[in-house]
Amino acid sequence: MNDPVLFYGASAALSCVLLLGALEKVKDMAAFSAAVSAYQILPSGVSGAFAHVYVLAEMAAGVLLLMPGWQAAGAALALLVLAVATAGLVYNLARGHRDIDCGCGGPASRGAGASRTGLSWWLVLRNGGLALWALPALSVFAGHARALQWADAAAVFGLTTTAVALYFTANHLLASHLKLRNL
Amino acid sequence: MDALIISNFLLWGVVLCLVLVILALSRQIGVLYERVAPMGALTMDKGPAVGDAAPRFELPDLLGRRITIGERGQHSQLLFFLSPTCPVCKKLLPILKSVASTESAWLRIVLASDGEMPEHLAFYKQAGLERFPYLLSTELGMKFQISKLPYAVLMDETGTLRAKGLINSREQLESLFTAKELGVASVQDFLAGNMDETRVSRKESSNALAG
Repeated sequence: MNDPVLFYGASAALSCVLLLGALEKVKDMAAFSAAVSAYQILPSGVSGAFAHVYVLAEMAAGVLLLMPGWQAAGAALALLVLAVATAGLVYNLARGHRDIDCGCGGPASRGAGASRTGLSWWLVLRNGGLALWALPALSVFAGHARALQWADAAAVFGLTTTAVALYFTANHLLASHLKLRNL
Repeated sequence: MDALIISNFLLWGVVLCLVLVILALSRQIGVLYERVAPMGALTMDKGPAVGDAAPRFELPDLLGRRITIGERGQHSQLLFFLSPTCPVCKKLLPILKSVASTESAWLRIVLASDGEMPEHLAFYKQAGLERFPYLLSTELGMKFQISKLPYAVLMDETGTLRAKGLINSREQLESLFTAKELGVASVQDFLAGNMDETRVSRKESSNALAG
């Protein structure tokens, strides 16, 4: 089942999350590069370049998700970005490297006195949730699309803002969960 | 119509997510409370025990007034041992002043120390402690067996020792008042679930309230 409200709302929310995440990484590119090399997957020479490519891809996905007609491409790119991040996450969780900065907390992880976020399986779950938001943009409309009404504007706006807010709430909850674990 | 149905479904989805968030939050608060349990003033197992009658003293303070300690009276007495050379004591002085005004209905604070008079008098004036009587007596500290500063001893209206401990913060100072109110020897005791003693002292404290 697909509906224009779901389509626009989910794409806009995913786009917001990606763009805000990319912005946060661009603001402190050195920290993000350090986080990438702390994952210890790529050779040290490549990780800096990879960090730049990753942020560019994240930004491109965010922008594409907002452009009419390009949403499906944006959603696919977003899925790819998420898959790469989650693969790195799962790989390090599987080999027990938990105490590294995940480089993915968004603004929540940079709050006053916030320490390095650390990895947990909850992050994988969070990324899985984000991936779900890409689905409406990927699935083709069955039959003809419903015409949008004025009430839909409110629904799209509400869905987008609550989804983004829920994402950041989840980040805060995760951060405090990890802090509590270390208390 | 479709728009409303979709909007309704989405709203339910959002409500469910919010409920999950609230659940996670309340769980975190619970864990936080467990991990950050209150830490009361550290009580040294020396000197007169909590529940005993406090040793009685009648001493002149720095300004020459006669001050009685451990007497039956209208107010509880907090005997606060300090020294001009102890930095934590200085940090606690503003807290003492604020506690003196908020608890003035039932509490009188008396400062105590020992050593040379001129040094203490200068400290007394400089720190603006004129509202508190300030006793200089080695014997007082010996009787209560004070080995670490700042140390506070709380005595109730009947001259019975109700709580005592090493004080490093407002929280620890207030833990003495809480211990008196709850009728336990110390907050640590209360947390350890020392129920028998609690019951006995509760009875005592209700008697004290009635009297």
